[in-house]
Formats: sequence, C-alpha cells, structure tokens
Amino acid sequence: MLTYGMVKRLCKQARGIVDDTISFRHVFVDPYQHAPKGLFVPLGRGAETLNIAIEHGAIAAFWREEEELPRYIPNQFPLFFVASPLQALEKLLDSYRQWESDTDEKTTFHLTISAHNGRIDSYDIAVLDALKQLQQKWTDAQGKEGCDQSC
Amino acid sequence: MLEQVIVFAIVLSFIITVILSPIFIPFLRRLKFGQSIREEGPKSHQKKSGTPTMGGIMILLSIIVTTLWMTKKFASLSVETYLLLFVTICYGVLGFLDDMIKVVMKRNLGLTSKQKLIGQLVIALVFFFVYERSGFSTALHIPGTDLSINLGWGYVLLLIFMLVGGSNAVNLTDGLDGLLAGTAAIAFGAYAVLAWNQGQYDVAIFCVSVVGAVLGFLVFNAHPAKVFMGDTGSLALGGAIAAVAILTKLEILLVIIGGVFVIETLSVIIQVISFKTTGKRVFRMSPLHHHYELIGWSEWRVVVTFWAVGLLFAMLGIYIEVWI
Repeated sequence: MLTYGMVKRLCKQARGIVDDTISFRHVFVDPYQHAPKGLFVPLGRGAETLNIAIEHGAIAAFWREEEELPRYIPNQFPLFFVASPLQALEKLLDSYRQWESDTDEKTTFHLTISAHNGRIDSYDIAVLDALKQLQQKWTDAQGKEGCDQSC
Repeated sequence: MLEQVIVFAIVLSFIITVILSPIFIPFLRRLKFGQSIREEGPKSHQKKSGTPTMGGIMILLSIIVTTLWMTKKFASLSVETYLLLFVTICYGVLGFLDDMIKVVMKRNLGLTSKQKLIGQLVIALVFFFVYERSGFSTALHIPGTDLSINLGWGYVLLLIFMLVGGSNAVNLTDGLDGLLAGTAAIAFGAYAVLAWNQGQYDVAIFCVSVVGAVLGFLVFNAHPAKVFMGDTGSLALGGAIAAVAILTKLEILLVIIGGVFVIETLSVIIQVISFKTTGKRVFRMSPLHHHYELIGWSEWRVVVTFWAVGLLFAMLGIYIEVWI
C-alpha cells in the first residue's frame, strides 16, 4: 500500500503529523468519493473541497503551494505541498507502479470526478481533459499487469 | 395587430415556465437525490450540492407550446417553425440523455464525448437535408455589406459547424447561476428583432418564445439557483440559436450576437492548448467565468458583467445589420 513516506518523497514540503507508517487505502480526486484512509488530490478549489473530502475519509491531501490554507484544517492533518496536484498525481502513479509489490495490499486509485453539478465542483476543463488521459494511461497499464480491484 | 403576438408569446412562455417550474423542481430533486439520500443518509453537504438539474425540460415545453400556439394563431406553421422546433427538441433530447445517465447512474459517464458528437452531427445533417429540400439558399451573406458568397456544398460544412459548435459553446457558458439564461435571453432577443425586421414572423415568434421561457426560468435559476437547466437546456438553446442564425441568413452575425459564447469557448481552447503544450495556465480556470470568480469577483458580479457584455454585443449586431 502507498505510505506517507512514498508520498513525502514527491513533494518539497509537508505539514502536519510526520508518520511514515501511515498508509493510504485510496487515492481520490472527487471529494464526494467514499474513500476511508484516503489521500485526497484537490484538482479544483482546494479550500472548498478538502472539508468534503475529509468527510468522506481523507486522512491527508496534496495542496497547491500558492493556495491559502483554510482555517478548518486540523494542525495535525498531513498536507503535501506541490506546485501542481495534477502533476504530483501523475508522478505518484508512476512511482506507485514501481513500488507496488504483489504480496502487498493494494491502494485503490479513483481517477474520475462525478457530476454533482454545484459551485464547488467546477473544474478547469483543461484539468479534466488531462485527468481523462491520466486515467486512460492508468487503466491501460493496469490491464497489462492483470486486473486487480483497482481497475 | 401582428405586433401583439410578440407580447403575447413572451408573456405566455414566461408564464408557462413559471407555472411548470414549481411542479417539476420537486420531481427533478427526487430524481437526482432520491436514491443517494436513502443510501448515504442525510448529510450536511447534501444541501450544498442539492440543486437539481435538467430544468431545461421546463424551457423546452414552454417553447414548444408557445411557438406552436402563437404561430398557428398569428402566422402560419411553416417549414422554418418545424425546423427550429426539430433542432431544439433533438438537441434537448441529446442533452437529456446525457443528464439522465449522469443523474441516474451517479457517474460521470454520461454519454461519451464521441457519442455526443455523433448525435450532434446526425441532427445537423438531418437539419441540412430538410433545409436543402425546402429550397433555401446556400449563400453566405457578409453582414454590413451587400456581398454574398455562394458556398454551394461548402454550406453543409458551415451549417454542421454552426450547429455543433453553437450547441457546445452555449453548453460551456452554462456554469454560473443565471449566466446562460440571461445571455441566451439577450441573444434570442436580438435575433427576434432581426427576424422581425426581415419579415420572418415565424422565426421571430420562435425567438420571442425562447426569450420568455428562459426569463421565466431565470426566476428559479438566478443566484441562488433552485434548479439548473443542465445539458437538456444548454444544448437545446445552443442548437436553436445556430438554427435561427441559419434561417435568418445571418450566420456570420452569430459570432457577434453570441459574442459571450464565443469568448467563453475561446478561453477553453486557449487554456487546453496552453496546458497541453507548456503545462501552464493562461486563465486561473476555464471557461472564463470561473477565472473571474477565482480572482475574487462575486458570482453575481461575474454574471451581471457577462449579461452587460452580451447586451452590448447584441446591440452591436443589430446595429451592423439594420443601420450599416
């Protein structure tokens, strides 16, 4: 499974509790996705989606460096600061495939955003477009390696 | 006496939407949230994301009833009327399928972009064949001049481009409360004036019915929205405005009268190209209305500004066609 340490290596700076034993069952981009023990990747308005993601099981998140932190985030909540969460997600997927071992319990990656049709779920069309390609790449790679629960 | 139809049509379609909305909104809400509330139990955020979509159904019903009724009473039901209703309904149904799959399956699957495009192309082609058979001209008029270019078979490409592009552009503009309803009312209003000016009363009645219907919808869609029109409404309105531009032979003028839709679409194209090639964004978020929201404008301010810009474009369009 994906661990705190693996994610930490991909970012310059982190905030909150430092614990290399934390592992993530899910990595998700849609704040409404049910993802206990999940790592949230905010692709839209971080401040307006992180609280929803926490409600749905996020225990850590990527955070865009320039974006201001909302007050509601608990001090211990791990945040990984990156220039672009989308690029960080791409790197994470690449590295995870190298780290992943057969015996290990797998992390599930949820790379789609469902339509909720509200203000908070407006995303940049360019980002959605890139996400679609990323998802395609990921499912193709998964297909080659034999399907598990993550595809 | 004929002028009265304009007033009648606008009032009638306004009233129909206003009456239909309170009946349909609870139904649409149940359709969207009925299952998920049972599955997940009540949660605080559900209120936030709890605006039902597919309100375009009310707009469509209102347009259909008003157009048929008023045209029959005051003018005569023509090929133009049927063509306009055909395009509006077909694009509406396409959008409805997309909305329905999203809402019922709760997934972003909807129709794939390929399926959607094929649907849009097929509708455009059917439109062209009926249009061609009714003996319409394939000439393209340059606004503000006496020049016309006969495109011949090239016209079919232009027509398809306008219908597919128009419906997508209008679809992109639908992102903030009341944004599309307001800008569409303005654009259809401008085309109503121009169609009337040409003596195409049937087309003018259709345009006015749309204006009334979306203004009625605006009562419920203005911030804070109680309902969204969804793709059902936005694709239908987009197809309709392109069809109106084609039937009034004011194809090029659509770029000006629909200026807001064009700018929104350009912002997306620029953003996607820039993001793909350089990895950098030109706007904070595309389509453009989100960019303004992110630089700190209130939603209302963005919407009203875009309406104002739409109004200026509409006036410019009328000016070019009528006075130059």
